[in-house]
Amino acid sequence: MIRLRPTLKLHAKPLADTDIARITTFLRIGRERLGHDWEIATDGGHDVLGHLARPLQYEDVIDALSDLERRLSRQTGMPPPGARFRLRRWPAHALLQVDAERPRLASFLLSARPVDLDELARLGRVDPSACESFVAALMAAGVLDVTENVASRPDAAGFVGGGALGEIRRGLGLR
Amino acid sequence: MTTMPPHKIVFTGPPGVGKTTAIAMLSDIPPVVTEVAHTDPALGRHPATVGLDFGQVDLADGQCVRLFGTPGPLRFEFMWQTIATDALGLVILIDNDRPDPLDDLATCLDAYRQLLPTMNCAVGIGRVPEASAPVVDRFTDLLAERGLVFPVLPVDVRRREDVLALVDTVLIQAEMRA
Repeated sequence: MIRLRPTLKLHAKPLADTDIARITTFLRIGRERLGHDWEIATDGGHDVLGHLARPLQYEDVIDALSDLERRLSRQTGMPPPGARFRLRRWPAHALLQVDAERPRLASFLLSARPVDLDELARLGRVDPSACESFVAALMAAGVLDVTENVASRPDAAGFVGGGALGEIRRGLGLR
Repeated sequence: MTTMPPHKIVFTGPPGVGKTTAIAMLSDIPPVVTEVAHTDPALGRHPATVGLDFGQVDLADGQCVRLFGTPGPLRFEFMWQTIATDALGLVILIDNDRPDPLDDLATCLDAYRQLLPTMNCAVGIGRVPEASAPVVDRFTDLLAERGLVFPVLPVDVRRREDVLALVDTVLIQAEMRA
């Protein structure tokens, strides 16, 4: 097994431009791509996080990175990317009173149809980071069902706030 | 102009919990109330609703949402489910200062058990002391024991924003079913 430079650093966060540039470099390694097995390792090569078979394929790299992102998300307690969420019980009051928006966000998570983080942010009209921290707290509290690798569905954010129920909202002075 | 079917939101709960007050907080018309003074110690110090309370939220184009309050005394339980049938949502109000508020919630859950699986519902806990977290969570636990997941929020029915917060969670459930 040969470990080549540059070594990938992986973070359970959206990729910054510098990381994208690093991956791009990684994929432009010419014929080295064909001649070696590859490992994905932590910075400095202390921990091997994954193996990639020869010849290195772009799809394999992306799949491996996606898998790593999910695994690292679980380790760090962050919501897995692309996952959908649904409450299995109403959260503890202490968790909700942190932020006035949280009871609303939790209500969206009652739906029989699980929602993902982006959709939750659009539904609740809150910053995605607020959703992420709330969902992470719900996961830590064990009150959330998490579904991964589900097919995309129509976004509920498009019809919430419209129609007859939207009229009722406006009549009550709710947003 | 299209006319939507009249929506109703029902406020329910034991006597003296503030159903009439909650409706008054939202209604655009002076609420129609059927409260009477009484001498029944089981009903507490407050007047008891012996018929329906009624309020109305006016919407655009002359349409409206009707707000109903159920009679509190248990002897009127036979009316509760009838009133809540076809409701857009059900708001259960519980007075934490009553002798056995958990039993009050259990009574409501029993009374509406046929409707609850498909009902948009929220539970408001009134008169919650400052150290509120464990108090509110006891009611959540009771719901969980029955396999129910509804919003449970502390509420002061004299505060419009508190009552609205409960109704908001009910509307969200309705919207997500749409």
